[in-house]
Formats: sequence, structure tokens, C-alpha cells
Amino acid sequence: VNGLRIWRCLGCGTAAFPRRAWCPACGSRDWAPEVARRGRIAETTVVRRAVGVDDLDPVRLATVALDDGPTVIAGVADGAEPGDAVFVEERDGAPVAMREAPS
Amino acid sequence: MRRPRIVGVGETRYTRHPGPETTTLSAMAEACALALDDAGLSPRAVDGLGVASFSLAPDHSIDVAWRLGLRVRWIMDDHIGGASGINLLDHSTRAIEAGDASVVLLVAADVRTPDQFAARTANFNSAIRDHVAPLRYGGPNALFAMLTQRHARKHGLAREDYAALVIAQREWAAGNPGAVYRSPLTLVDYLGAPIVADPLCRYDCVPVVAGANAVVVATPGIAADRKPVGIRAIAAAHNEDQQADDGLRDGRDAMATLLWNEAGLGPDDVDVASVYDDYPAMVLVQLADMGFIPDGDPKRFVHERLATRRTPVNTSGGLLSAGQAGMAAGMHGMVEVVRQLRGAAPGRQVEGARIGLVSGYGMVVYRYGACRNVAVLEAP
Repeated sequence: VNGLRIWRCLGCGTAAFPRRAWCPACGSRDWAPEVARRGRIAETTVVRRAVGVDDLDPVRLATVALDDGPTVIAGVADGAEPGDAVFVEERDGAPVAMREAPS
Repeated sequence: MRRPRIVGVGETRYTRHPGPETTTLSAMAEACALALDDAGLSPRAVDGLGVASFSLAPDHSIDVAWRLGLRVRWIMDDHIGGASGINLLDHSTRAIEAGDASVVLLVAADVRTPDQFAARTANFNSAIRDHVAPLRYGGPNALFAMLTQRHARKHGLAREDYAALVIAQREWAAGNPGAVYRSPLTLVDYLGAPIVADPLCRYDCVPVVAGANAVVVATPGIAADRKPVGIRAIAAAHNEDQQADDGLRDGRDAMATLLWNEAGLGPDDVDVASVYDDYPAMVLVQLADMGFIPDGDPKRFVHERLATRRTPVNTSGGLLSAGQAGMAAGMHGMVEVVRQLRGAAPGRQVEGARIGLVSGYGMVVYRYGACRNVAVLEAP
């Protein structure tokens, strides 16, 4: 799993995704990138309709608490459900969660 | 200090299908004319202008001033969505108190095609554009679907409980000729409606409409015969939890403490409220913030206070029944509460309403709204 790039505050250790300029906890401006690979699904939903989009293919989304800190909005690549431990990776800039690590 | 007062309000007809002749500017002009007529003031009396819109580009507030022929010595562009109406009221009140203006016209409008709406949701801000829109998330419904799941789990609510709130607002809408949805809604209708994003169904999501709202704020003595509504208190709290929490809140709210201290009042004094209702759960979250649900049981509150009208909330039908005209939604509830406090809400009047509360909420920066504010208004 390639994982998701997140940002770790060098001042206090707070982790952020998306990237922030200043740390919301300590005000530091110094961050180091790191890679988050695991998390746990808190909620999921399936988007079935959207204004201005005809014939929307249902899209499954999740709120995922990363083991390394931030809570992110992610796509769901397989049948992962709330409560499941998941792998996370980045596709086109967005987090995607999956129960099974891709081979 | 003598606080400025609200002396006029206006709302255009909200419509789901605006004709090609309707533009954001034309809707603004119409709402401004309604509000100034309501105040009995001429455009020449206006010396301040505040504007909020998602769809005004490439124009800004100064272009609106020019199109309306206004000469102003105070001007402001606002862009905080569902919190913009109260934000504009707050700043204009301070400007008038400081002597920078005497009559301020505030206007908010949006007129968009479904395509433009969809384009906007995909490009709402850089965080969503870069990290959420690639998932084809379809707009904020998905985010509030998951927030609603958290709310339901935390407080033990079922779909039937949120339905009771939606149905209560629809019953209020029956008395408001300006609401786009006025026909009665039953629990069977609600439970049978298409799911938009689980657990939210069609009736949990605001109907997107085109329209505009306007408010005239003036120094005391101006339009004194127009039942001026007093501004008792305004408080705000933006980006408090940095999107790092659950988007729900549970009382002990610093903003509410500031508000009630400034107003010298409490939730029990409120006769009528407009609470920003982009989604049913957010109505309950905000009412809890303001101290209206002291036992911490929103389920009981829905059935015993909202459905019975013992606490009159969103008497226009709210955005869920009246419609959400983009940024104008941030001014819709204020217009309704002003009408109620002036005794000018036929068909839905809360008799003897003296104290009104208006809340604003909006601007999803990543996972949920980051802007909150609230105002307490007082009958003439």
C-alpha cells in the first residue's frame, strides 16, 4: 500500500490532512511529511443523487480515523464497513480506504 | 449607546426554475427594492452596502452599488455562506454605531443553474477541490449524512425523529406563501422518499432555489414609524474545532454564554427562532448549543417542543421547505424573525412574539461547517 501523505507538526506532533500552513495546536510553521497507511472506518454513506448530475453511479464514501492522527473523508474501494480496520492510500489526491491490502 | 435597528426586510419569490432574465444582480435589485419600500426609504437614503453571494462573479459589492446607483461611505463583501447574514448584520451594526454609515442595505442572493451548482460544489474551496471532489462526492449531502449518523448514534435518534422535525417545518410552510414546498408531508411520504446519501432522504436536503433576501439596518430615529426591530446581541465562533472533532457540539458553548450575557436573556425568553437548517441534525445541534435542550435529549425535544410548536422554530418552513437560495439562505431566517417580531407573518404568526433568535451556520471547509453565529432580536 502506497499510503496517504499527511503532515506532522515538528513543534508538537499534531498530524494534519489536508496540509495546513500553521499548526492549529501550537502555531508552529514547521511540518514534515509522513505516510499514513492504516485507519479505522467511523461512518460510511452511499451517495445516490446529486444536483446537476444525471445518472450518478452510486459513490461510497467513509469517514476514516487514521491511526496516525487526522480524520479524513475517503472513498471506499471494497466492502469495508464502519468499525473495520482499513488500509488507506491516495488516488488523485483523495484518500481511499480498503479492507484488503492490494496485492 | 443606542443600537441600530432593522427597519426593513425583503425576499424575492424563491423559484426552482428561474427564467433566463433572472440573474443574481436582478434578484438582488428586486430584494433591495422590497426592503427599502418596507422601510419607507429611498435609495438616496442609503449610505452603506453589504453583499453576499456565491454567483455574483465577476461582480462584487461595488458593482452592485453602481448598478443600483447607490453612493455609499461603507461597503462590504461577505463570503461565509449560511453565516453571512448575521455576519453582515454584526459588521453593519458596528459601522453605524461608529458613525461610518446611517442606513445600510444588506443583500444576499444566488441564481444558479444545476450545472453551475454542481461545478461550485466540486470547487467549493481548495481542500475540497483537491482532496474530496476527486471521489465524486456530489456535494455536502454526503458529509452531513455521516454527521447525521454520528448525531443519531450519540443521542439515540431514528429516521422517524428527524422526520418529525421536517414534518413540523412543512406544517409551518403551509402558512408561508413564499415557501416552495407547502403541501403536507406525512411520515409515510418521508420514509418512502428516495435516499440521497444514507440516511438522508430527499426531504432532509434543502431544495436548491434562486432568490434573494435584503435587510435595511438604520440608526435610531430613521424609519421610526416602520416597527423597527432591535438587535439585542450577536455572537460568533468560527473554526473553533479545526475540523478535528465530530461536528456535533454539546452545550457548555462559549458563544452561547457570550450571547446570553450580552442579551441579558436566556433560551426560555425566546418566542420564535430561525435556526439554520441545511440539514435536520444541524437544527438540533445548534439548539443544543444555545441551551434549548437542557436535558440533552434532542429526540424528546423534537416531539415535545418542535412538533407541538411549544418552541416555534423555522416558522417560514425553514430552508428545508422554503428553499435554499445559496447565500440568501444566510439572511432568510433573519427576514422571517423580523416579520414575526413585527406581527407581520400572517398565516404563521406567533402571537405576541417579543424575542427572536436567528442562527447562522455554514462553509464546509473540509468535513463540516466551520462558521457559526447567532443573533437575538427584539420586537419594536
